[in-house]
Amino acid sequence: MSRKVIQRSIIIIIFALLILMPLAVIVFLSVGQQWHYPRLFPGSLDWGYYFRQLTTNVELLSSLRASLLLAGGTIILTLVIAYPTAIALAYYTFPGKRLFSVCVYLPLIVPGIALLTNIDFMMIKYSLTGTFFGVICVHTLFCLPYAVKLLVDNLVLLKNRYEVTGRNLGASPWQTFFKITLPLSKPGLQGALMMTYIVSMTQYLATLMVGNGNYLTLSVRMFPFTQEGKYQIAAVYGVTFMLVTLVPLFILDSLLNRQRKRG
Amino acid sequence: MLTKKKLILLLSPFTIFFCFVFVSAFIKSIVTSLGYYPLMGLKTLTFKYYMTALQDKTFLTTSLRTFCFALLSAGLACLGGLALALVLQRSTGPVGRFGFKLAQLPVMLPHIFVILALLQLLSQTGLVPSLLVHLGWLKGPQHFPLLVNDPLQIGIILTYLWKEIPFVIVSLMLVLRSLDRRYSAVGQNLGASKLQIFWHISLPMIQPALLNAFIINFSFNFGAYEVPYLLGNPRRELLPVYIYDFYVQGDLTQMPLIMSLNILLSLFAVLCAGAVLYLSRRLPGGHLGGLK
Repeated sequence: MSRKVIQRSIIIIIFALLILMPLAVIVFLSVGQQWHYPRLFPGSLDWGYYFRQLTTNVELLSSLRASLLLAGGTIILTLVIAYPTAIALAYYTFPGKRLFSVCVYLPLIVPGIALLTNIDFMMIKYSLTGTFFGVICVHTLFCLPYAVKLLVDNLVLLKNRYEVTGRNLGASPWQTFFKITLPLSKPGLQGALMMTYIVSMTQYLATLMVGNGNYLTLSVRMFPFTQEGKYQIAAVYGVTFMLVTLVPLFILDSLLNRQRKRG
Repeated sequence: MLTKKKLILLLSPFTIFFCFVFVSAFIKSIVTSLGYYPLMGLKTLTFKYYMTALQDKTFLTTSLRTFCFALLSAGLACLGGLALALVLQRSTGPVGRFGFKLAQLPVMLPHIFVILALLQLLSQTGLVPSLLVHLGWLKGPQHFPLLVNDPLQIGIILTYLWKEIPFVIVSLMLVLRSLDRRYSAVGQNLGASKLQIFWHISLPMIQPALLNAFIINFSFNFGAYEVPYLLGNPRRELLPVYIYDFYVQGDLTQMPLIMSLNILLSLFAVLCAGAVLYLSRRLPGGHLGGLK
């Protein structure tokens, strides 16, 4: 029995090492000087280098701003669309429901390259390429399947019995929404928000193509640096990406967990 | 309470958005692919671009290669993810919880992130070959097998596995945690072997989630551009790179042809996804859901 536990632990540890290795490589790339072949370790570590970049590199700061702005816009648009859709899919039965939910998932099924060239082609016609609205529309299209799924799962779990009770006791539709539906779907909304943030931050081709190069986000800028072999500066962007995604999401997640345990 | 008016109100945001971004893009693309492109003075409807596309040898071989590649990488990700999810589910201690937390990391990072790390680790002047040379296991870095930009697309597959095995784990763990353990207990009491319990009880309960993850991974691997562009082999091009290069050349007379390629690919991917979903419903456990 205990041999099995050890076996499992070894598998998990190998898995953990494989997951963490790229992260460690990127952190060391960003602070290590002269880390070229055939060196196994960087010549010297300059921890200040990263922070100097973060405070003085104008390009880095502007792409950080672009990433956050697009993510913010995408979150608002996605939640505004996904929440009513999820309520409809969770509580109503209507003709064509199956087709409707297939449509929600279509952006994940149609090959990205075909979808993006088609949308780019269409957006050029409406002269939306290179605009903020154009880019967040495409990001939203890719975020919606995840957001709707997370919200529906949460709403189905609750059922709408509380709303029915509220209405029976004489609450108005708005009262039921704000006092019952909204507070109960908080976990679903939080999950959808986090997923939307991640999906928007990691988009590459959508941002580049529809953004027409106007929105050089962190993941977009990492690309040419990697291609040209400028690994250190690419890693600086990578570490910045980790700082603005992993850290806030981890903090949010542990806060929510603590709340759940308490409440 | 659940009135028709309210339902229409709830469905309209998505419908408007979807028609505006997705449907209109595809209608324009279908119309163009049929040869109606007034900008270039093309106004007669014709199937000739589809005929050209279906006779184009490069397009067909590239598509077939990409299809096999996407199938293989998505299949490997699902197998690996399933195995690891089962291991993680059984280890309830701190190690297991730590493993599940870690599985969420790759889902949050962009592909370019792992590409960069992979280049530093596995290219012939990377860290792994240097380490092997230092240890004396390898005479020189040129003896290290080509793993990046290689003809077998190993670099791309590794990148996708790093991103997708954790994705499969996360989607399966959510289902595995909510499973009723009593079914397995009953099976055990009735004398079922471990393999039988897995095959007849656990697998049917998680197969819809597993096949959903497979569809998402397959479609992504079939149509994503950035990884094959940076890690692919130029002589064994994958479809996304082929189409993107074609599109950005900006030759407007080629637009109808490109759009017909897009429509063919989209139809193909939707058919594949449909086939997998149909299979998932037919297999034991299919009534539990799937893409809902």
